[in-house]
Amino acid sequence: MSTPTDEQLLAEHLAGKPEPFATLVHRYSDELFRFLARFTGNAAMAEDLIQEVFLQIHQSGASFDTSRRFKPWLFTIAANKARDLLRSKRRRPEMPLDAEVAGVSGEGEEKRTFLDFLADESQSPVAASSLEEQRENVRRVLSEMPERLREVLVLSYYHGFPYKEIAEILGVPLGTVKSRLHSAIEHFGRSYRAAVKERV
Amino acid sequence: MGERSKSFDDRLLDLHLNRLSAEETEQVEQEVAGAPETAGRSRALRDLLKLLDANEVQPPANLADRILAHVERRERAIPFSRERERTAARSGDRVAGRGYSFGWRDLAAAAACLVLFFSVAIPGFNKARSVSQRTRCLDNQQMISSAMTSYGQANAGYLPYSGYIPGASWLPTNDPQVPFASNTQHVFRLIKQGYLPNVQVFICPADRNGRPLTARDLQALQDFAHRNNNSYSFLFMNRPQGVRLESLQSGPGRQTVVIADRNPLLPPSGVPTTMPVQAVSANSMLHDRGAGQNAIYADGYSGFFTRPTIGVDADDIYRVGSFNSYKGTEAPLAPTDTFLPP
Repeated sequence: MSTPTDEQLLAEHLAGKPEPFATLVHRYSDELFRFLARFTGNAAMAEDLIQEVFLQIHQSGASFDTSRRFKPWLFTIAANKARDLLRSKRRRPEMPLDAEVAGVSGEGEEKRTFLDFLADESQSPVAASSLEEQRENVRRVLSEMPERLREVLVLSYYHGFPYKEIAEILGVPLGTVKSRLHSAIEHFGRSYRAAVKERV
Repeated sequence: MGERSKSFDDRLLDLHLNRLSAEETEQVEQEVAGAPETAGRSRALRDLLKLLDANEVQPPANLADRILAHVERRERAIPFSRERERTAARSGDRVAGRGYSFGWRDLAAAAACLVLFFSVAIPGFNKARSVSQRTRCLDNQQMISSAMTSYGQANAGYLPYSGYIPGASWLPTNDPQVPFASNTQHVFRLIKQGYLPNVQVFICPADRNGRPLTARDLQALQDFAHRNNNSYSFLFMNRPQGVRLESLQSGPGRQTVVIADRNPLLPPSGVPTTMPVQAVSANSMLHDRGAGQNAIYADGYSGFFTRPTIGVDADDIYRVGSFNSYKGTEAPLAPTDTFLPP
């Protein structure tokens, strides 16, 4: 028995069956979480977002254009929600005292908050390994990269979307995707070198 | 950077992003191997992209189950939304984005809201319009009243007066033996002699049939051509010597109504074809089908009155005495018998 396509699962969900939606969630939750975590630079934010993304899919599935593929549509919704959230955070820069520091803490790490910094201004007492330093630098550089460049780099490098689908997800011309990808790599290289020099 | 090298950069990037076919990959790798400078650039790009792998992200455990639990929890909170989407999907409707598909319940609710709105708003609107029309109607009367006073002051103290015709009828009549003496011909002098700015002031805004005279008609006429050219009734003037202002400025004369909205004695359709005209005590028909009338007294007092018995000693201003039948030749029975003919 062949595996049903995403589009078939969505059609069955719209017909009132409960299982196909769960299958879609299991199929894409990890990949979508990775995208959102890299795009926002914040694992907690990514988890909140992914729940909202699938809730919207569940509620607005009928608005899906069946002539399109499901996956780019899913990532379009996710990118839009992430952008909206990031912009609203920028408009309201104040954060609660126990808020996680964006781009610093990640999955599996000890969560660092403003409270931690207030208690210990010397940053982490644990000596970072070279690999850990590298990881932190990459995260910081990516999180500080302009949004329009970061989204192209993440979709292209980490998720391997074809240029055409990236253009579809972001709603920009194909040529713009390519030029942004070049700019993103150049920006990443320059910023990473600068970040390493700062630490030396 | 030239076009050729730019194109190569694209292909080099695609090589490291694994976006090339096997054939293209082999071709680019050969180009890279053939030039030390290009090989260096390729290595630098590979190393740079490899750094990105350090940004590992590990999804939380049971993420899918947590998502499904969240969706179920939220859907339970908004069950209607789910039902709406499902219904739309089953019926083949397309709901665009956050769009909304109207059902018969929504239409019924919208219709009920509209009915409620209009049932509340329209009476209120009509009432406000009526009040506004009454006010503007009274403003017109006050302008005419002021013009009459000005005329009297400039004409030996007499109100506008076009003469006396003994035995004349203030109603148009078919009897050749009874001349017609319009009671409005007197105030018409106010227009002819420039005491009023225009003929529009003789039209009450509440008068649905009101139609002002044209400027061309005005030159040739000595009276309103049609009863629709004037919405008001004036103090009876077919007297041997007219009416002196002085007589209205002291004693019971001060309580004489000089102007009021049109006398209801004539039927709305126009001049009666048969005589006599039957009359009962009634308000002017200009406002809300007989709700009352504006009136101005000789002493300047004015207002909207809901009964016509506002003359001296509660005299009906629209009737001679308490006559119920009129031929048109009736005249006030006494100085205190106010009468404003149609």
